[in-house]
Amino acid sequence: MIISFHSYKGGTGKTNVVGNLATHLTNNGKKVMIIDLDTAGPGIHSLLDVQYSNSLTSYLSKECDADDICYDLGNGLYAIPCKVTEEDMTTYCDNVAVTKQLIEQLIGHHVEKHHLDYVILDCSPGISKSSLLALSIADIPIILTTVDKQDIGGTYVFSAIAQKMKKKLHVMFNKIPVQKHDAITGILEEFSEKMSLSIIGTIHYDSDMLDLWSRKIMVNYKPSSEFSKRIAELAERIELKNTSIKNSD
Amino acid sequence: MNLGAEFNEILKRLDSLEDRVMDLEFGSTPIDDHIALSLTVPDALRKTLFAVAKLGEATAVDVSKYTQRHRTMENRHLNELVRSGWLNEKRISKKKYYSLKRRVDQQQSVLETNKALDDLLGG
Repeated sequence: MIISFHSYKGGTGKTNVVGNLATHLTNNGKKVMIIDLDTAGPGIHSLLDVQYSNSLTSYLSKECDADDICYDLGNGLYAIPCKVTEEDMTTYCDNVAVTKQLIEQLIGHHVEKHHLDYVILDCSPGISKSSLLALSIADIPIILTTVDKQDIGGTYVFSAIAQKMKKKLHVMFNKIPVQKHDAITGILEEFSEKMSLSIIGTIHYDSDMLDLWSRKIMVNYKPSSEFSKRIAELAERIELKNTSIKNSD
Repeated sequence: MNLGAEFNEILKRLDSLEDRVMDLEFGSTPIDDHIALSLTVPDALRKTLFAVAKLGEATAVDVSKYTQRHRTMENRHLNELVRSGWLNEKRISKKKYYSLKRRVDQQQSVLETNKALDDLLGG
């Protein structure tokens, strides 16, 4: 199953959620591979401390094979890092269709080789060819948003694009202010319904999380924290969807 | 290229990116968010879509004059855009007029949500 994490603006917490979700899933016996698609600001290698020489763009530009860019981090967790570049990843191939084909082959190869349960795509913020590509191949596309005014508007744009692409988009709200939490949650639920978005998770504004400065994985560091509990809930919902998709096949 | 020239080149690119973001967020043209959405529309259809956006309400002949492409081709594109939910069509006597289909309800909802959050968060 492929899960993609998107956002309209940067700084919504995608990479931290991706890293923690993947770690939680592997702690529970699942095999997970993360692919960093954020060529403009890759971060998975920092968060998970991946020492790499080859990256996604090396594979796309055919400098190396699929096996050369996948790093085994132990405990069933694999990561494909990305080098920072000012170009969208689709520019490394002849066109978007070729890029999509290569990414699908890459995923297929590693799913088979490592018997992966989940592949998680950490996408670049905003609307780009690579984020639309990820949206098109994901089984569960998720837009991560905050209550920031620009994020709310951007979430509408993303939901409209997903509707056009006939994809069921899920939304996850992050950094929800703790004060007035109930009132804000009510507003966000109504908003999601009008946008035809299904809420897959919510995370409160968490000062413990911010204090980590991406230097630790919260679900391992403080498994009993509020953030870790919310990640566990997210994982549970994803597992339910996975089961339901498998049953319908 | 010396450091100063490289720096200016980066600044130029940042400006261009900023303009694109501003277009997406605050664009006042009739297509607004459709600029972003149109990434999902094939190039040939996009030209027709942008022509209708520019003209407001138009017949296939109007669009054909604007795009400088044949009317039968524009007719085909317009029908495709209506089928895929981009355009509205209405018939007045023998002519068909096309206009952008706007997601008024959802756009209104964004405004209402931000207003409600402003009230709560002191915006």
